[in-house]
Amino acid sequence: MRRSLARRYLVGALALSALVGLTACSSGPSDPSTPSGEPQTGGTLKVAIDLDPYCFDGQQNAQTALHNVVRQFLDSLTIYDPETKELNPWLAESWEVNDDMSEFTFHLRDDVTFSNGEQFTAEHVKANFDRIISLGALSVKGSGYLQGYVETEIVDDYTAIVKFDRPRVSFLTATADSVLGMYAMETIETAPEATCLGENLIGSGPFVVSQIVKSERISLVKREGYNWAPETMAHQGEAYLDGIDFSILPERSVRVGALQSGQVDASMGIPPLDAAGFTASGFQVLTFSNPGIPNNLSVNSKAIPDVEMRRALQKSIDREEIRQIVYGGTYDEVRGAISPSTIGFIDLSDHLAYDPDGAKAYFESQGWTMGSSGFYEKDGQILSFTSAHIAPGNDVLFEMVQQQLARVGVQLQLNGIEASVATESRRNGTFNTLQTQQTSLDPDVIRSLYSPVSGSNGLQLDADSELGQLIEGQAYETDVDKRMEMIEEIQRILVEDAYLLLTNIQTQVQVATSNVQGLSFNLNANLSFYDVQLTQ
Amino acid sequence: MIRYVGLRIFYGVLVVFLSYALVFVLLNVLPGDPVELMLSRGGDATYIDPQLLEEMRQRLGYDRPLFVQFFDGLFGVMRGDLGTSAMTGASVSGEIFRALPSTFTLAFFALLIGLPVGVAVAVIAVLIHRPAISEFFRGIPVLNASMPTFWVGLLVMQVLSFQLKWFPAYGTEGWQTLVMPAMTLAVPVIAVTGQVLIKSMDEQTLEPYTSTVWAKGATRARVQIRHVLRNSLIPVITAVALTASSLLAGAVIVETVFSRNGLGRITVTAILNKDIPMVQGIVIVATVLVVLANLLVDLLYPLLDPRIRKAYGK
Repeated sequence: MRRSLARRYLVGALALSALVGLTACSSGPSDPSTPSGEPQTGGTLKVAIDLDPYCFDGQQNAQTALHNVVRQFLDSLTIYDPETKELNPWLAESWEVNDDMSEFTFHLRDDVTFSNGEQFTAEHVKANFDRIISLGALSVKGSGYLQGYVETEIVDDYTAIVKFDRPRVSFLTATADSVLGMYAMETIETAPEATCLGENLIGSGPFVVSQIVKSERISLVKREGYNWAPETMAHQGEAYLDGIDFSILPERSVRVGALQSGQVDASMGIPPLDAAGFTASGFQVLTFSNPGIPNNLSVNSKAIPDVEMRRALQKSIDREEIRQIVYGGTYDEVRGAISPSTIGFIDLSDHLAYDPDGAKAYFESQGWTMGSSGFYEKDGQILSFTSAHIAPGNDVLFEMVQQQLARVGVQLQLNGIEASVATESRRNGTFNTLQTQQTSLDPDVIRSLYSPVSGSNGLQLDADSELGQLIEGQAYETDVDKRMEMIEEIQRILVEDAYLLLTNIQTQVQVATSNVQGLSFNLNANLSFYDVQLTQ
Repeated sequence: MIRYVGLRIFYGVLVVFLSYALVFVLLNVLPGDPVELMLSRGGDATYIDPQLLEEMRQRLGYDRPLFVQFFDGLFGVMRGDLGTSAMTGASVSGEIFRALPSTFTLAFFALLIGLPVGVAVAVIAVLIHRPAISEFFRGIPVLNASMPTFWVGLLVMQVLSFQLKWFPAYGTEGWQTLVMPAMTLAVPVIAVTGQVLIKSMDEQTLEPYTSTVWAKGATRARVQIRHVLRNSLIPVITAVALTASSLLAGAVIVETVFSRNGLGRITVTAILNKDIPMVQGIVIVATVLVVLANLLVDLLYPLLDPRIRKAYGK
């Protein structure tokens, strides 16, 4: 069974790599397809989305696919420049931070209005953050961003100070996320269960919600008079498109068919193996590697304390083979402990080379001998580890990892588990290796997953270990340069001491017809339709 | 007669109660904390603040002893209160009743297509004695029964929408959007109606009364349609009630493939997002619907068949 599965993927991969070789695919925010000459205005873009959101309110529901929609009608205080990875002004013209990074003063633009006519003021900043706090468990991501929030002080109409009871070095990064986007008072005064169903979702963005039909579609129309686009955009003023119709098509083959038959102009969530076929037939394929922690098997340092053993396991994983066979060569390669779009990323690919001979040499130096089962053995024991991954979505990937480890004589026992069981075993330390990944722009995500003090302790570190102290300490380091040095050191240890057995980077794949121009991702992994033109 | 009706209603209530109890036990026997399950949506390894977990546990009442949860939930069901969604805080019964009309419309049109086609196929299969033709029509319900709804939906869409471009692949506006989903959902209806009716008509054809009709010089069509078909319809009505559950199951797939809102779709969303109160509510409402369909048929029997009426007396 398994062999035939592998063969099927191999045949597919060979065919695909031939296609990929012939056509270039644009990738990432650094390479948006920019149109030339007079901009083409008008037209309604039809987009298929893969996710059926359980809730349409962006402050409550943090699912990435929903935020590809929310970003179009909700503006934020700040935005990241995808080229420089610098924080840029948006609704906030400028900001100051106090010395211990617990108070953030925002100076707001005075020319912004919501689509219902409300003027955007400091009141809105206060009301939005207060709302997220009162949402509590209904806004898991938002509450996380506002951990330690005390209050927002309104200095004058266009100045607000956001106060925390502790240093919050990652808060500024969070203000760029549409989960902390700014709603009008009318939305904030609506009951959260009604906004979830799509009622009264009013923002100040370049598009306005015109109709939401649960499980079916979300229609947006252009906001007349929009004039506060951030400078990171390719143009100013109103959006080029008249509107966007998002259709919720959860079934993969329906999205593919709708795109091929011209019933939609673009589709999100196209599997990598299909994407290569689209490239070959003249469609544009946009990929974006989500920021945050790449997909990996995080090692329980109590279960596998021998750093050389962990390094040998790291050497046994052939990441290029995974990229080609499981992901059709569409995904970027994994090059470090965090994804390249994450703030503070350093390239550690030198430590991620595939070296099966090196791995075998280490096992043999430790007295392991190749047994009749094809695995290394010592004192009648097989060299064997368990791994847990979120099933069923990742089965093919981890079966591949299992095969790769088997090639060097290590047995990996796979367990497909439910996400909540993963959360539990991460906390309790009942694992050898556990699949982990998380999308986040700020490297503080390392703390929430791995800190033994204020996180899930996903590596089972001791609080007084060097790594444990670095991970926890960076969150309170108010000197930005010093913090970045700590972040670099953490990445080095995570990869060099092989705490994270890295496999691949979670990548979004979007496909559009050649008539759609100017579609790009922002650094928060959301699509931006503001610069999009629909040509004939 | 009253005893007959009373017994049927009692069985119905019992089934609803058992399904409530089964769901409750399953949820509490399965590994993993339900509240943690609900908050860890998707593959991301989110760190959840223990304070948020506690807040959620209290809001949904999972901090109370199990028997309190069991009976409180049960009394809620009796009052028609199915609790609130863990995801959105909205009322579960509200969400379900908003979704029902769309599913009912779909099921109605599926029956409208499926029943006449099923009956026609069966009548032709029994009426025509040329083996090739009869076997062909006898094969249609079997074929329908063996085709998975999921596959039929995608196939219909591939041909009628992507290739011929007659109908839109998705959307809910206009009658065109209803054609493909209703056709797909009619497939199991045709299967059940056709199979049961063919079998029933074959049996009836061998009954002695047909000889009498033949002897009186009736034509084959008159024997089969006027006498045999009428006597064969009782099992078909039972079968139609049984399709109520397969229509609900089919709606899960058809509504997902054709991107329509409805009971099937909210089931999928609730399961994917681990909205336990919502899943519980849907199971109960689905059980009630199936029980009602069966009850309706049970109550129809005595009206349709004098023998049953006589058996239960006054």
